[in-house]
Amino acid sequence: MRSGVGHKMARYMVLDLAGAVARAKMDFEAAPLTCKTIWDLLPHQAEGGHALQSGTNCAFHFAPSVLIPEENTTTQLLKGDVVFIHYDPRERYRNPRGVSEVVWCYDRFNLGRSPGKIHEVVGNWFARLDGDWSDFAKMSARLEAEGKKPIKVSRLEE
Amino acid sequence: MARFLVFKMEGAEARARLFDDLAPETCKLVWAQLPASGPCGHVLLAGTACSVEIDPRAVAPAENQTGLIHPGDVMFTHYPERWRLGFPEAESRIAWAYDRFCQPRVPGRMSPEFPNVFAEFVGDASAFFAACSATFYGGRKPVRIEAFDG
Repeated sequence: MRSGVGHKMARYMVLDLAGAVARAKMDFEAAPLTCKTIWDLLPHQAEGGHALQSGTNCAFHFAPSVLIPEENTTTQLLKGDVVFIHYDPRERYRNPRGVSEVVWCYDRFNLGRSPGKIHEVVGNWFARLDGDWSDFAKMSARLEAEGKKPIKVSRLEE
Repeated sequence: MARFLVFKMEGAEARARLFDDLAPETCKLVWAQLPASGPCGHVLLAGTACSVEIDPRAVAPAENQTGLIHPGDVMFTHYPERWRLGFPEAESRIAWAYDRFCQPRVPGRMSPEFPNVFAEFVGDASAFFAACSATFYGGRKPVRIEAFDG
Protein backbone atom coordinates (compact mmCIF):
# COMPACT_ATOMS: atom_id res chain seq x y z
CA MET A 1 0.00 0.00 0.00
CA ARG A 2 1.54 3.28 -1.06
CA SER A 3 -0.36 5.69 1.13
CA GLY A 4 1.27 6.61 4.35
CA VAL A 5 4.68 5.20 3.46
CA GLY A 6 7.23 6.96 5.64
CA HIS A 7 4.68 7.45 8.37
CA LYS A 8 3.60 4.98 11.01
CA MET A 9 -0.01 5.98 10.59
CA ALA A 10 -2.04 7.12 7.63
CA ARG A 11 -2.67 10.83 7.45
CA TYR A 12 -5.95 12.41 6.49
CA MET A 13 -7.39 15.83 5.86
CA VAL A 14 -10.74 16.07 7.60
CA LEU A 15 -13.05 18.36 5.65
CA ASP A 16 -16.03 19.82 7.49
CA LEU A 17 -18.16 21.64 4.95
CA ALA A 18 -21.06 23.34 6.73
CA GLY A 19 -21.46 20.31 8.98
CA ALA A 20 -20.97 17.62 6.34
CA VAL A 21 -17.74 15.81 7.10
CA ALA A 22 -15.45 13.71 4.95
CA ARG A 23 -11.88 12.65 5.15
CA ALA A 24 -9.29 12.51 2.42
CA LYS A 25 -6.41 10.09 2.69
CA MET A 26 -3.15 11.82 1.81
CA ASP A 27 -0.60 10.04 -0.34
CA PHE A 28 2.77 11.13 1.00
CA GLU A 29 4.63 8.74 -1.27
CA ALA A 30 3.11 9.95 -4.53
CA ALA A 31 3.10 13.67 -3.67
CA PRO A 32 5.40 14.24 -0.68
CA LEU A 33 5.95 17.97 -1.11
CA THR A 34 2.28 18.67 -1.68
CA CYS A 35 1.20 16.56 1.27
CA LYS A 36 3.80 18.01 3.63
CA THR A 37 3.06 21.59 2.65
CA ILE A 38 -0.66 21.16 3.11
CA TRP A 39 -0.31 19.10 6.29
CA ASP A 40 1.78 21.88 7.81
CA LEU A 41 -0.91 24.44 6.96
CA LEU A 42 -3.61 22.59 8.91
CA PRO A 43 -5.87 23.34 10.66
CA HIS A 44 -7.33 25.80 8.22
CA GLN A 45 -10.62 27.64 7.86
CA ALA A 46 -11.89 29.01 4.59
CA GLU A 47 -14.90 29.10 2.32
CA GLY A 48 -15.80 26.20 0.09
CA GLY A 49 -17.03 27.20 -3.35
CA HIS A 50 -18.15 25.46 -6.51
CA ALA A 51 -16.07 25.39 -9.68
CA LEU A 52 -17.06 27.88 -12.35
CA GLN A 53 -16.53 25.79 -15.46
CA SER A 54 -14.81 22.57 -14.39
CA GLY A 55 -17.88 20.56 -13.53
CA THR A 56 -18.61 18.64 -10.37
CA ASN A 57 -15.85 19.86 -8.12
CA CYS A 58 -15.39 22.37 -5.32
CA ALA A 59 -12.44 24.11 -3.74
CA PHE A 60 -11.11 26.01 -0.77
CA HIS A 61 -8.22 28.44 -0.87
CA PHE A 62 -5.00 28.91 1.02
CA ALA A 63 -3.11 32.20 0.79
CA PRO A 64 -1.91 32.62 -2.80
CA SER A 65 1.64 32.75 -1.47
CA VAL A 66 1.43 28.99 -0.87
CA LEU A 67 3.52 27.55 -3.70
CA ILE A 68 4.11 23.87 -4.36
CA PRO A 69 6.09 22.57 -7.34
CA GLU A 70 4.28 20.47 -9.90
CA GLU A 71 4.21 16.96 -8.48
CA ASN A 72 2.18 13.87 -9.37
CA THR A 73 0.22 15.96 -11.83
CA THR A 74 -2.79 15.03 -13.87
CA THR A 75 -5.57 16.62 -15.86
CA GLN A 76 -7.81 13.60 -15.41
CA LEU A 77 -9.92 14.35 -12.38
CA LEU A 78 -12.03 11.47 -11.14
CA LYS A 79 -14.72 11.32 -8.51
CA GLY A 80 -13.04 11.40 -5.09
CA ASP A 81 -9.77 12.92 -6.29
CA VAL A 82 -8.24 15.79 -4.32
CA VAL A 83 -5.70 18.02 -6.05
CA PHE A 84 -3.73 21.18 -5.41
CA ILE A 85 -3.78 23.90 -8.07
CA HIS A 86 -1.90 27.18 -8.15
CA TYR A 87 -2.24 30.20 -10.45
CA ASP A 88 0.36 32.96 -10.31
CA PRO A 89 -0.83 36.54 -9.94
CA ARG A 90 -1.50 38.15 -13.34
CA GLU A 91 -1.08 34.82 -15.09
CA ARG A 92 -4.66 34.60 -16.28
CA TYR A 93 -6.55 36.99 -18.53
CA ARG A 94 -8.79 39.25 -16.42
CA ASN A 95 -8.32 36.99 -13.40
CA PRO A 96 -5.23 38.71 -11.98
CA ARG A 97 -5.29 37.37 -8.45
CA GLY A 98 -3.04 34.54 -7.44
CA VAL A 99 -4.78 31.40 -6.26
CA SER A 100 -3.62 28.39 -4.27
CA GLU A 101 -6.49 26.00 -3.90
CA VAL A 102 -7.39 22.49 -2.90
CA VAL A 103 -10.00 21.00 -5.21
CA TRP A 104 -12.11 17.92 -4.55
CA CYS A 105 -14.26 16.11 -7.08
CA TYR A 106 -17.61 15.20 -5.56
CA ASP A 107 -18.96 13.50 -8.69
CA ARG A 108 -17.65 12.09 -11.94
CA PHE A 109 -18.25 15.01 -14.31
CA ASN A 110 -15.00 16.96 -14.16
CA LEU A 111 -13.02 18.82 -16.81
CA GLY A 112 -10.51 21.03 -15.06
CA ARG A 113 -10.20 24.36 -16.85
CA SER A 114 -8.76 27.60 -15.57
CA PRO A 115 -10.92 30.71 -15.51
CA GLY A 116 -9.48 33.36 -17.79
CA LYS A 117 -7.00 31.22 -19.70
CA ILE A 118 -9.72 28.65 -20.37
CA HIS A 119 -7.15 25.93 -20.77
CA GLU A 120 -6.88 22.50 -19.27
CA VAL A 121 -5.81 22.57 -15.64
CA VAL A 122 -3.03 20.41 -14.28
CA GLY A 123 -3.35 19.58 -10.61
CA ASN A 124 -1.06 17.95 -8.07
CA TRP A 125 -2.99 14.81 -7.14
CA PHE A 126 -2.26 14.24 -3.46
CA ALA A 127 -5.27 12.72 -1.72
CA ARG A 128 -8.47 10.84 -2.23
CA LEU A 129 -11.78 11.03 -0.39
CA ASP A 130 -12.12 7.97 1.77
CA GLY A 131 -14.92 6.06 3.49
CA ASP A 132 -18.55 7.17 3.30
CA TRP A 133 -18.54 10.75 2.06
CA SER A 134 -22.01 10.77 0.52
CA ASP A 135 -23.32 13.55 2.78
CA PHE A 136 -20.23 15.61 2.02
CA ALA A 137 -20.82 15.08 -1.70
CA LYS A 138 -24.41 16.26 -1.35
CA MET A 139 -23.31 19.36 0.51
CA SER A 140 -20.65 20.01 -2.13
CA ALA A 141 -23.23 19.79 -4.89
CA ARG A 142 -25.38 22.31 -3.03
CA LEU A 143 -22.70 24.96 -3.36
CA GLU A 144 -23.60 25.38 -7.02
CA ALA A 145 -27.11 26.50 -6.13
CA GLU A 146 -26.54 28.06 -2.72
CA GLY A 147 -23.15 29.74 -3.01
CA LYS A 148 -20.14 29.48 -0.77
CA LYS A 149 -20.22 27.84 2.65
CA PRO A 150 -17.65 27.70 5.44
CA ILE A 151 -15.20 24.83 5.54
CA LYS A 152 -12.90 23.68 8.33
CA VAL A 153 -9.97 21.47 7.43
CA SER A 154 -8.06 19.62 10.10
CA ARG A 155 -5.55 16.82 10.58
CA LEU A 156 -6.21 13.21 11.44
CA GLU A 157 -3.70 10.40 11.94
CA GLU A 158 -4.75 6.85 12.52
CA MET B 1 -41.16 45.70 -34.69
CA ALA B 2 -38.27 44.17 -32.83
CA ARG B 3 -39.14 41.80 -30.05
CA PHE B 4 -37.29 41.68 -26.76
CA LEU B 5 -36.84 39.54 -23.70
CA VAL B 6 -36.85 41.55 -20.48
CA PHE B 7 -34.77 39.94 -17.74
CA LYS B 8 -35.42 40.93 -14.12
CA MET B 9 -33.36 39.79 -11.15
CA GLU B 10 -32.48 41.30 -7.76
CA GLY B 11 -33.85 44.69 -8.83
CA ALA B 12 -31.75 44.76 -12.00
CA GLU B 13 -33.29 44.70 -15.45
CA ALA B 14 -31.93 44.20 -18.96
CA ARG B 15 -33.29 43.66 -22.44
CA ALA B 16 -32.26 41.21 -25.13
CA ARG B 17 -33.36 41.57 -28.76
CA LEU B 18 -34.67 38.43 -30.41
CA PHE B 19 -33.05 37.20 -33.64
CA ASP B 20 -36.33 36.52 -35.39
CA ASP B 21 -34.52 36.45 -38.73
CA LEU B 22 -31.67 34.10 -37.76
CA ALA B 23 -33.41 31.76 -35.33
CA PRO B 24 -37.12 32.06 -36.06
CA GLU B 25 -38.24 28.73 -34.66
CA THR B 26 -36.28 29.20 -31.44
CA CYS B 27 -37.63 32.72 -30.98
CA LYS B 28 -41.17 31.49 -31.57
CA LEU B 29 -40.69 28.66 -29.11
CA VAL B 30 -39.20 30.82 -26.36
CA TRP B 31 -41.74 33.60 -26.91
CA ALA B 32 -44.50 31.10 -26.29
CA GLN B 33 -42.91 30.20 -22.94
CA LEU B 34 -42.98 33.77 -21.62
CA PRO B 35 -43.22 34.95 -18.98
CA ALA B 36 -40.73 32.48 -17.61
CA SER B 37 -39.34 32.44 -14.12
CA GLY B 38 -37.31 30.26 -11.84
CA PRO B 39 -34.07 30.05 -9.93
CA CYS B 40 -31.19 31.56 -11.87
CA GLY B 41 -27.67 30.35 -11.33
CA HIS B 42 -24.50 29.32 -13.04
CA VAL B 43 -24.41 26.52 -15.52
CA LEU B 44 -22.26 23.59 -14.49
CA LEU B 45 -19.50 23.61 -17.10
CA ALA B 46 -19.74 26.67 -19.33
CA GLY B 47 -18.13 29.41 -17.23
CA THR B 48 -19.57 32.90 -17.05
CA ALA B 49 -23.11 32.06 -18.04
CA CYS B 50 -26.34 31.84 -16.09
CA SER B 51 -29.51 30.06 -17.00
CA VAL B 52 -33.08 29.26 -16.11
CA GLU B 53 -34.94 26.09 -16.95
CA ILE B 54 -38.12 26.13 -18.97
CA ASP B 55 -40.60 23.37 -19.81
CA PRO B 56 -38.44 20.37 -20.82
CA ARG B 57 -40.93 19.61 -23.58
CA ALA B 58 -39.86 22.82 -25.32
CA VAL B 59 -37.75 21.72 -28.29
CA ALA B 60 -36.35 23.83 -31.12
CA PRO B 61 -34.45 22.66 -34.21
CA ALA B 62 -30.75 23.47 -34.58
CA GLU B 63 -30.67 27.13 -35.57
CA ASN B 64 -27.96 29.77 -35.59
CA GLN B 65 -25.70 27.49 -33.55
CA THR B 66 -22.19 28.23 -32.38
CA GLY B 67 -19.69 27.10 -29.80
CA LEU B 68 -18.03 30.53 -29.74
CA ILE B 69 -20.07 32.53 -27.31
CA HIS B 70 -19.71 36.26 -26.75
CA PRO B 71 -20.86 38.29 -23.77
CA GLY B 72 -24.49 39.17 -24.21
CA ASP B 73 -25.41 36.12 -26.27
CA VAL B 74 -28.66 34.45 -25.25
CA MET B 75 -28.85 30.72 -25.89
CA PHE B 76 -31.37 27.93 -26.01
CA THR B 77 -30.39 24.34 -25.30
CA HIS B 78 -32.39 21.16 -25.10
CA TYR B 79 -31.23 17.75 -23.92
CA PRO B 80 -33.48 14.80 -24.75
CA GLU B 81 -34.43 12.26 -22.15
CA ARG B 82 -31.76 9.56 -21.52
CA TRP B 83 -29.32 11.27 -23.88
CA ARG B 84 -26.64 12.14 -21.31
CA LEU B 85 -24.72 9.88 -18.96
CA GLY B 86 -25.80 10.57 -15.41
CA PHE B 87 -28.44 13.14 -16.37
CA PRO B 88 -31.33 11.05 -17.70
CA GLU B 89 -33.98 13.72 -17.49
CA ALA B 90 -34.94 15.93 -20.42
CA GLU B 91 -34.02 19.56 -20.03
CA SER B 92 -34.71 22.81 -21.88
CA ARG B 93 -32.89 25.89 -20.80
CA ILE B 94 -32.41 29.56 -21.61
CA ALA B 95 -28.85 30.62 -20.85
CA TRP B 96 -26.96 33.84 -21.34
CA ALA B 97 -23.31 34.84 -21.20
CA TYR B 98 -22.75 37.72 -18.80
CA ASP B 99 -18.99 37.83 -19.42
CA ARG B 100 -16.54 36.56 -21.99
CA PHE B 101 -15.39 33.35 -20.31
CA CYS B 102 -18.06 31.07 -21.65
CA GLN B 103 -17.49 27.77 -23.43
CA PRO B 104 -20.60 25.60 -23.29
CA ARG B 105 -20.26 21.91 -22.59
CA VAL B 106 -22.87 19.22 -22.10
CA PRO B 107 -23.06 17.88 -18.53
CA GLY B 108 -22.72 14.13 -18.58
CA ARG B 109 -21.50 13.86 -22.18
CA MET B 110 -18.80 16.44 -21.38
CA SER B 111 -18.69 17.31 -25.07
CA PRO B 112 -18.61 20.80 -26.52
CA GLU B 113 -22.07 22.22 -26.90
CA PHE B 114 -23.45 24.33 -29.73
CA PRO B 115 -26.47 26.21 -28.44
CA ASN B 116 -28.99 28.08 -30.55
CA VAL B 117 -28.08 31.74 -30.16
CA PHE B 118 -31.42 33.44 -30.54
CA ALA B 119 -31.05 36.85 -28.89
CA GLU B 120 -28.49 39.35 -27.67
CA PHE B 121 -28.52 41.85 -24.85
CA VAL B 122 -28.82 45.47 -25.93
CA GLY B 123 -28.26 48.70 -24.04
CA ASP B 124 -26.71 48.81 -20.59
CA ALA B 125 -27.00 45.37 -19.04
CA SER B 126 -24.19 45.90 -16.54
CA ALA B 127 -26.34 45.85 -13.40
CA PHE B 128 -28.09 42.68 -14.50
CA PHE B 129 -24.80 41.05 -15.44
CA ALA B 130 -23.40 41.99 -12.03
CA ALA B 131 -26.39 40.28 -10.41
CA CYS B 132 -25.69 37.21 -12.54
CA SER B 133 -22.04 37.16 -11.50
CA ALA B 134 -23.07 37.48 -7.85
CA THR B 135 -24.96 34.19 -7.99
CA PHE B 136 -21.60 32.42 -8.17
CA TYR B 137 -20.82 33.47 -4.60
CA GLY B 138 -24.28 34.01 -3.22
CA GLY B 139 -26.26 31.19 -4.77
CA ARG B 140 -29.23 31.13 -7.08
CA LYS B 141 -31.71 33.99 -7.22
CA PRO B 142 -35.16 34.21 -8.78
CA VAL B 143 -35.20 35.55 -12.32
CA ARG B 144 -38.15 36.53 -14.45
CA ILE B 145 -38.14 36.84 -18.22
CA GLU B 146 -40.95 38.78 -19.86
CA ALA B 147 -41.93 39.51 -23.45
CA PHE B 148 -41.74 43.04 -24.83
CA ASP B 149 -42.67 44.30 -28.30
CA GLY B 150 -40.61 47.42 -28.91
